[in-house]
Amino acid sequence: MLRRGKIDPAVSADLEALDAALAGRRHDPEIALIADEVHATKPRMSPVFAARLEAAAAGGFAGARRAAPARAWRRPRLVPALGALAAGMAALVVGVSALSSDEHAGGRATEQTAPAKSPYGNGLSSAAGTAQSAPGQNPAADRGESAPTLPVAPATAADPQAGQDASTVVPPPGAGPRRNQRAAALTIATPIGRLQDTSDKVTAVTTRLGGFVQRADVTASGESGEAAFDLRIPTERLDEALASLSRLGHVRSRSQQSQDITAVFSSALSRLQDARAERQALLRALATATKTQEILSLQARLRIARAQISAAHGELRAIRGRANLARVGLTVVGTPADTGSGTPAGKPWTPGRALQQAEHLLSAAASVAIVAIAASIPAAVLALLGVCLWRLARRRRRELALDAATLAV
Amino acid sequence: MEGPDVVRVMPVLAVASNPVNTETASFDSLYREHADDVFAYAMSILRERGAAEDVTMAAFERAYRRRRTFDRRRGSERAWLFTIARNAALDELRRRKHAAPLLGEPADLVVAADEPDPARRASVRAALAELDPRERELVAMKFLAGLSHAEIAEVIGTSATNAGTRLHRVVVKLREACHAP
Repeated sequence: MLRRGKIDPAVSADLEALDAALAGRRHDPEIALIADEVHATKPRMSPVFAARLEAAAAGGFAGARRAAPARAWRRPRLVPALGALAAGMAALVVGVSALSSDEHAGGRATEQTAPAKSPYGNGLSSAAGTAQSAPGQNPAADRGESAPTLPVAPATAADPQAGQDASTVVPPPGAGPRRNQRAAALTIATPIGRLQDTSDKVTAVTTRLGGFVQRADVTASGESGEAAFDLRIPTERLDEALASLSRLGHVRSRSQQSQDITAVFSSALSRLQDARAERQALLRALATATKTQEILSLQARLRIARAQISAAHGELRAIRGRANLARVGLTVVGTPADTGSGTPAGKPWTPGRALQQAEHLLSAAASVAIVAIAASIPAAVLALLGVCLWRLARRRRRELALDAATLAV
Repeated sequence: MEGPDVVRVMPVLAVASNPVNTETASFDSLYREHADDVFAYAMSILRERGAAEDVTMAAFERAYRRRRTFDRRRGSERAWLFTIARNAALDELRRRKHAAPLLGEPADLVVAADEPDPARRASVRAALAELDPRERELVAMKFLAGLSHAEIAEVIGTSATNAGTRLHRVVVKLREACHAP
């Protein structure tokens, strides 16, 4: 801590005289006497200590040499610490990069966990919670079993309203194999430039598996677009269809529902059988009728019975269709090409894309570095302040020790 | 080609065949030149031979260990060495203050009869013995080690003006002793 100040000229002159006398440029008897006495009373090292010091010097000072390996020992310990720091930074960069990608993809993670909208509206949506099943959980449905010929159910077994709330109807014993209505909802993402191509592939997959496209709605504008499909896929090939469709883009959400419609089918079959039985009975009665009014009445009832048979036939066909064809609601979302929406199947790995990824990574790393620097500056200032204060305190303690020694004299 | 045995028997501080050894040789020169002065300086503060020896050894060890941190732009090499020695001495002083007080080595006040002007010499010697540690360290640095005022200021951590003024006071005190009857 050197401070400039003005020294008293007399003091300055005296000090210059002192320097000159000590250097032998000027004869000053007093200074010469003082110097002589200082040298005469100069403490000398004992020969033993002088030899010890010399030996230490010759050995490069043992303490210093002990310290050197200590420094060398610190280095390997520093390497893992630096490695851990680098790994942490890399993890942070990857994390930030991943978060950044998610933001670009429009909250993909959220969408994946969101329940998919059922293509069947409230009827199946309400059942989805309880009837939703993964492939393989319902063997009969997985096999796509259907039994066109069922044993005749008792006429009283099913209420005509049973079809409105099939899930509560207990199927009659011996009603044959279970009939399940299956549905699935799938949302996939693909680059907007490949939306049309993907839509064509959806149609191709559906046709190849024996199904058909009930409805297709493709809209694209600028950097966004969406294609919505309502597909009918043979139930026994639903899993294969979902696997094929999933490969057309990045799956954002996928859900399946399954509903047991055995009771509904049995109920419709019973109504048909009842109507047929009634017609047979009416025909027999008509054959024996003799009165005109009775004949007319029976003919009218026969017309009603025929209409009931026809309606029951139609209902059975519809139920069979629901059991045999699974409904798939597919949404293809077109994403901007540079969002990196994670379509590894649809996006070939090109040098340009690699450069883009590298740019993203570097910018994320730079952001992290800037934040780290910004955070470390105050810490460094505080540390510097702490070191300065510690040094000041240490110096103060040392000077106090000398003061104490001075007072003791 | 030097064999390992040859290297072992050579004083480490004297080997100066590469930059590191040049640095070591420079330190060796510093050591040779100032070892006695550092010891005398430590004695001037501590006044106890054992403590001064420990401090001298510790000072050279520290200086050797930190020799790469020495920056010539911030001061001379000997001022740097004496700063290290002073810190070591003051640390020792603090330690000993907490443990046991320094006894102090009795100054040799006897002046040989054959020396000229023995009375004045004895008076100066007595005055030197009565100096307090702060004054003694100035005398040791100036008269024994030959440090300049600026170097002394650097060692004791004050301004050159302050260091010069303090040194002047000590010299005046010693000059007065020269005139004592």
